[in-house]
Amino acid sequence: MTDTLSFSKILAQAVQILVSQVQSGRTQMEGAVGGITIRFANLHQRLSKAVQASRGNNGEEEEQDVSALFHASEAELLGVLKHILAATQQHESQQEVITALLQQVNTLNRMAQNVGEIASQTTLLALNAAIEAARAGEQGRGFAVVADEVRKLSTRSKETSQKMGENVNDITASIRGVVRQTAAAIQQERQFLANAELSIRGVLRRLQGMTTRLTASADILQNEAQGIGEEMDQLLIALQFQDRVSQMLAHVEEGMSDLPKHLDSANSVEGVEDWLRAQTGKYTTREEHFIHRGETIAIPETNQEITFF
Amino acid sequence: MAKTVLVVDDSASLRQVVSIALKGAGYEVIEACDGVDGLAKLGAATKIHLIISDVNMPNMDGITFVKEVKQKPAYKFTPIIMLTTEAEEEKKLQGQAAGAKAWVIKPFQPQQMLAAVGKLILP
Repeated sequence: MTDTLSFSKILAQAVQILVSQVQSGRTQMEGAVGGITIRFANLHQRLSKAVQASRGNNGEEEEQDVSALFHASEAELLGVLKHILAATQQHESQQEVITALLQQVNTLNRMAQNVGEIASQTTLLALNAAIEAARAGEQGRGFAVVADEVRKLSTRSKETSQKMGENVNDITASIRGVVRQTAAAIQQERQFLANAELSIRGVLRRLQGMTTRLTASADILQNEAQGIGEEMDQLLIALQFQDRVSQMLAHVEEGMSDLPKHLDSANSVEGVEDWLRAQTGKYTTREEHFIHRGETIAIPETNQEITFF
Repeated sequence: MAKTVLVVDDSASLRQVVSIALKGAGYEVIEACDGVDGLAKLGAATKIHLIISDVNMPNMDGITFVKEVKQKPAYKFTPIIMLTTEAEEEKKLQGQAAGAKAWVIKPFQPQQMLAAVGKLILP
């Protein structure tokens, strides 16, 4: 009897120590998980803000805006090039007109030469007439005067044709100068146009590359945001196990505290049976019942359906 | 304007978890640590659009809390979701009889919980 009493006391002390240990562990775990949860709440808030910022207010619309802006800029810049090309083509047409004018001036030059030749022949005719008039003597005197006047006229005609030729040559030189300058200007314009087109296409290509990279980065961020959201949900599920474990440990504590009383009773076998029955009444989780019956431990399900009433 | 949910649970970390999920979806959250505290929070000025309550709590358990809420004219029709580790059919029936609208077993899936809140919350 003394042995039994002493055993009960020892058992009660031992159980009390175990209860205190479990209690301490539970309190520490609650404190630690509480701290983790608060930190996680802050992290969740900051991550949500970061993800929101990376998405922009309406990511898809912005992407379309960038693409539309790129195409509009491309059309505008290439449009400027078209205007410059039109101006160059107009300059080329003007040059053709000037070149045609040069041919007309060449005709004028030939006409002046013809007038000069006619004047030379007329001078020769006047000279012959003067000779014939001198041979005729007194009867040819009047004719000699006419011949002399014709010679004077032909001389003036020759001088005029020479001046005309000189003027035509000056004009031709001037026009040739204009044609040369215009050709140089057109060549420069063509060169500028080619360089500008090259530069613009280069800039557009780089801009397109950048836009593509930006779009790809935005896609990566979107995917990451979704991944982060899923990870966060899993963390929220995991964090709930503290509450579940805490309740189970509280039941263990209560059960252990109650056990010595039942062992102390006159019929300890009956006492233990009472204790076991009392335990099942305290359980709240399915796995506690499973464990109590000595069945395989069921892993708590995390995708249980919600019961609506 | 954001709708307000009252979360009643004796576990601070679980209240935080529910709060994170709800705030992430744009709800305002008021926390209470047991049934007594929950009733006190209902007495405050802020309108509560939905209640999420644990079942096993000190001072006042969840089933008694639901019965008390249903006695208040202002909260007679406020939907209540029970969030608990209790999987016993008998407890569920008690919750239903008290006036709860849904029974969710911990650990809950945040998306499922949000869907239930969205479905039940008052306009």
